[in-house]
Amino acid sequence: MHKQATLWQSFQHMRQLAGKQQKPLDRTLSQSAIAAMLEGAILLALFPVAMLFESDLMAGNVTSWLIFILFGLAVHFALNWHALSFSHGQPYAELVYELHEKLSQQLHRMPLSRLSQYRDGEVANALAASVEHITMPMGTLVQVLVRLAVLPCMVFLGLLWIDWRLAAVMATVILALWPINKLKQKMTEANFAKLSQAMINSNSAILGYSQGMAVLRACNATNGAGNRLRQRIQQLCDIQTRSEKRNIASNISYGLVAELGVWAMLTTAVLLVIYSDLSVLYLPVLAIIMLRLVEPLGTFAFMLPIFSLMRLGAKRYSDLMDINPLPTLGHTRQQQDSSITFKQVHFSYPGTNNPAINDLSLHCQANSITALVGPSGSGKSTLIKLITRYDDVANGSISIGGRDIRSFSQSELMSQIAVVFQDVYLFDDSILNNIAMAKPSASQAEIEAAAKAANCHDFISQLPNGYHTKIGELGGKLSGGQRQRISIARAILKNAPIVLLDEPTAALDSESEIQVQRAMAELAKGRTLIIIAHRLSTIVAADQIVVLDDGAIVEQGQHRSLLEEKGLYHSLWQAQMRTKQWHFNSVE
Amino acid sequence: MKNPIWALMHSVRGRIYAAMAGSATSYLLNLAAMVMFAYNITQPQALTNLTWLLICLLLVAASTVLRLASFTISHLASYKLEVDLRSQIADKLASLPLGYITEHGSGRVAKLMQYNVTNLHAFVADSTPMLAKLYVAPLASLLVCAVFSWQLSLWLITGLTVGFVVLSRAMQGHGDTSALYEEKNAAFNQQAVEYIQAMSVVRAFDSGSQSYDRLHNTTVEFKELLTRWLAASGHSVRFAMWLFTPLPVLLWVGLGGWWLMHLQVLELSALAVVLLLSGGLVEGIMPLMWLNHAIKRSQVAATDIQQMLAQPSLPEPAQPEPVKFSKTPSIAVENLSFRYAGQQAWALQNMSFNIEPGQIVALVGASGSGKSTLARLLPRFWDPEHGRICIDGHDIRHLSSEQLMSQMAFVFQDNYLFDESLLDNLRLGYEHIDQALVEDAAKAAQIHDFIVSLPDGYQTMVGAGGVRLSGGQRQRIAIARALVQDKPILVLDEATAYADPDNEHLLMQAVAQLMQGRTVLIIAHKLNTIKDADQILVIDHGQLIERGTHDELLAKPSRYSQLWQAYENSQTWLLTDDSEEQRYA
Repeated sequence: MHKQATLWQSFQHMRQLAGKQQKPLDRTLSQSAIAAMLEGAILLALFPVAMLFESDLMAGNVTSWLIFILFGLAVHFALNWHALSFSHGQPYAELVYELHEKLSQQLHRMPLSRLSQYRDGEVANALAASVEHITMPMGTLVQVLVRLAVLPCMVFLGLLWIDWRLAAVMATVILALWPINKLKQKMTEANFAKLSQAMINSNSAILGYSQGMAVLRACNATNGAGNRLRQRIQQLCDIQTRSEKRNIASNISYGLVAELGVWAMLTTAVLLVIYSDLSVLYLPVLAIIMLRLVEPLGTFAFMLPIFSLMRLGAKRYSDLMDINPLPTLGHTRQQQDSSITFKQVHFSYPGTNNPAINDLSLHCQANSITALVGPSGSGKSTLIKLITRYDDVANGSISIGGRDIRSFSQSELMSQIAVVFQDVYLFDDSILNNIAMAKPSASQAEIEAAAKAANCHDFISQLPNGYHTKIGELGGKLSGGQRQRISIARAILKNAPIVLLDEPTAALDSESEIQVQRAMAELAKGRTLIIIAHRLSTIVAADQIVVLDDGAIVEQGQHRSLLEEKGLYHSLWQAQMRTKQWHFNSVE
Repeated sequence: MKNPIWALMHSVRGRIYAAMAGSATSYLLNLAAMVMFAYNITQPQALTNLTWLLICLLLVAASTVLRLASFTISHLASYKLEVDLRSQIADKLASLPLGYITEHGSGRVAKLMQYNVTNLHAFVADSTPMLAKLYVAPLASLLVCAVFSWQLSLWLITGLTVGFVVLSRAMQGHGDTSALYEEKNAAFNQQAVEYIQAMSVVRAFDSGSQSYDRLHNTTVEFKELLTRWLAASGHSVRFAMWLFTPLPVLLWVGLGGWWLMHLQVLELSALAVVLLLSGGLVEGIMPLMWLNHAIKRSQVAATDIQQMLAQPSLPEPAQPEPVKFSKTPSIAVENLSFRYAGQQAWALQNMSFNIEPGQIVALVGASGSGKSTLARLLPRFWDPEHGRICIDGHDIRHLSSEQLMSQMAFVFQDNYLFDESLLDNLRLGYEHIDQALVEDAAKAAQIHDFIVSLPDGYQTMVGAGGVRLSGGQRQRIAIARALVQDKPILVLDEATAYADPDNEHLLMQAVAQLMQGRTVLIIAHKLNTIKDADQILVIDHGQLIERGTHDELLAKPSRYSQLWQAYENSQTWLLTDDSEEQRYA
């Protein structure tokens, strides 16, 4: 049966995720299973107990049954107590801890190129919450499930012993439920694709409507857009309603077969009492047992959404954990200096055919400045990312001081490189920690020196809590330039021999722009620098200027010689010079 | 039970009540069948006439159908409610000051409309019928038990009371700890998200694993909290969970029944009825505990939605007077003061100036000086606390949105493009406009050539499934859009901020085209672009400190000349050295 299979699979998946806690989990599950068997046995023992009512109630042999029941109950309690020690004891805390730790280690180890697929807020959130979803049903809910599976089996065996005809009715009912359940399953699956498409449509309409609200108002287009949004939302509702209505028949037939099935057994029992030899005293016991079986079936419906959350969470978690880290090669050559060499490098982003870097060779001497120039999409950022081993090259090699970067461990490699990104990321922590993360052993004096060099000491000191001000407390009050300078201070403090710099293009006012520029100059001193330059005037004095187009080097040299070549660099330079002189009356 | 969802549910309240009544009735019918069965099988004469058994079966069938029907009703009601709420939120969003979205972030607003509404589903669709049953079940069962034997019922109630005392001991401090649990869990999730999004930074600077430590510390704290919690409450919870299973209850009732029968105050039929009902009595308690989780979540979701819907809308005149604007209107800003909600400091203070028809006025100042705030007061992102803004002498607060927006176009730093074709994006709100006119606008905005170079031209889809545009291209489309709309007033805030360096000049030309023949308020950091403005207003800490033309302001020592100097320096700066002789000429 399809449903059982997936339920079984996700059950196995859950066991596997339990890792070190798998043994305690298994123990819990077997204890629950034994407890459920015992529960069945005790319930079945009520049949002989009921027979005692026929004779004298206070006769001697009642005690032996009573002792069995009491003893059984004590064991049942003990088993349950132990079984719950997983979900309500130390193993659960350990399990949550281990899953959290494994997740953070994997995030730290996996290739950045793969991790970038998780950067979207919703995706990242779902990933973080997956641990919660995996662990929530472990223990309690699974125990309920075990009980649900074991108890009917026990009852069936008991009925075989009491009267095979009752067992036959029970088997018939279960067999009748089978095809109906399968039909239900099929209908749900058939609807699933349509439903999720409608959900995606409605979600993207909602997102567009909220993000575009300012534009909609400016264009007096709120009404039209509002109506389109309502249409999409209504479409989703229509599909949901339709599938709900379509399911009515199968739901009702399933419910009727299940509930009336139990009553069919009771009816059969009554008939057996009248027309055969079944004792009338069995009837109340049978009713008690059968109605106990129906009740948990109702709660089962409640657990299903929690299980499907678990299933999704487990899949999300395992998919991430299955990503292999980039391999570390054995190294053959000692690192000479901090020069960087690209040798016939090819690289494409996963899922694309176009090469982002196409047979590129380049040598950047130690302590020299290399400027990367070119139109957007020419491969400048990719080149910088590849030095940090964002992903591995498809062909060729990148080496630092003659040693292939793939032979470094991640921390060895990163200890040599400081990066200043376009979009600055500051952690929701103090400014001090945001700078100090580059060198946790740094003294306050060292941190302040780096901040001074990056031109951010003054404004930090003016904050109410100085260096201990939390980024979160400031809200949006840090300007783009201030954030840039904090990130440069971080890079200066790191004092790495290689600096990769992506010049900010975002609009800064001129005063903060100058301060950012000075901070960048400070960072560049005495290091191997590769800079993505958006403003060509900045890099006029670079040791080499590399002009990229379509992932390949088209020109290379120093400013003057490149201008004389009258190629792409020359035209880029001309365009920028024109822009610089431009003002809005110049068109007229 | 005080749940904010009930207030949000009013449009479907009737259906929900129907579903709850159906669910409760379904339980009662089932109860009747059970009682009838238990009673009759202990009556010898009942076995000769089986009419009662037939009635039992009919009752069960009716109960089943009614139960399923009530769930269907509640689900359908929930889907309708989702549509209603989303529409309400959408309408509210369209009437709130635009500043609301700026302050809260469009992502959060969208989340409210998607996930918060979806979260209500668990309560409205699944929980309401269950709740009705869970309230009716113990009451009705105990009542029936009492009718058959008050002594045994008393015995049962005593047992249940003991159980509940144990349970409440187990739940002691549960509220506080579970709040702490939620908090720590959220802290881990938030830090993990931060970690995922900032991983490139973490790797680049994480020599001492400091940021990893942040996450690690949270993990450890979470584990310690869990350990403490489980150690404190684990035992009593485990005991209570066992106590509320059928076996102990059956034994309790069985023992009591045996004793009472021994005292000859209990009939066998009464014992059968009570035994049958008591098992079901306790089994309803566990789902209630699971339900609690879903209910809590939906409460949180509902509270957020309520708060959003309770925000005051941007006040607009109910009956705006018809206004005739001139072809190029004037703008007057009079004694304007504004501060952001919850802030002490003034963002803009006592500001007055006029923009004559067709004038170009530039706002200049350091970041955070209040330029952008001022630009956003014109399209009424917020209303000022004091003073007013007039267009052609009409206070903008006395105009309807349509009237105001018919006069004003704005192009800001980030310009949203919709998941539609480029053509539809360009003529948004002006769907009747001819494609030829749209193309003219695109040509003027220097984006036509790019658009026709795409395989589908103007029909190319934008967004996830379509073409990806660079910052500069998006801005040129926004400018073309403003050209299509052809409004007499133009507000530009860093309209060239995300220019791609290699095609910045195209963007500049587009802006110049757009400004012609209009009344313009412009903000730009690149001061050379605005040096021809008719009037330059220098803003510092929310105050208007200087005004004049470029030449006038440069003629004397001024804040403007400082800014200009800084601009010049930033343009001629070299990475390698800032000494004068290396500067290129």
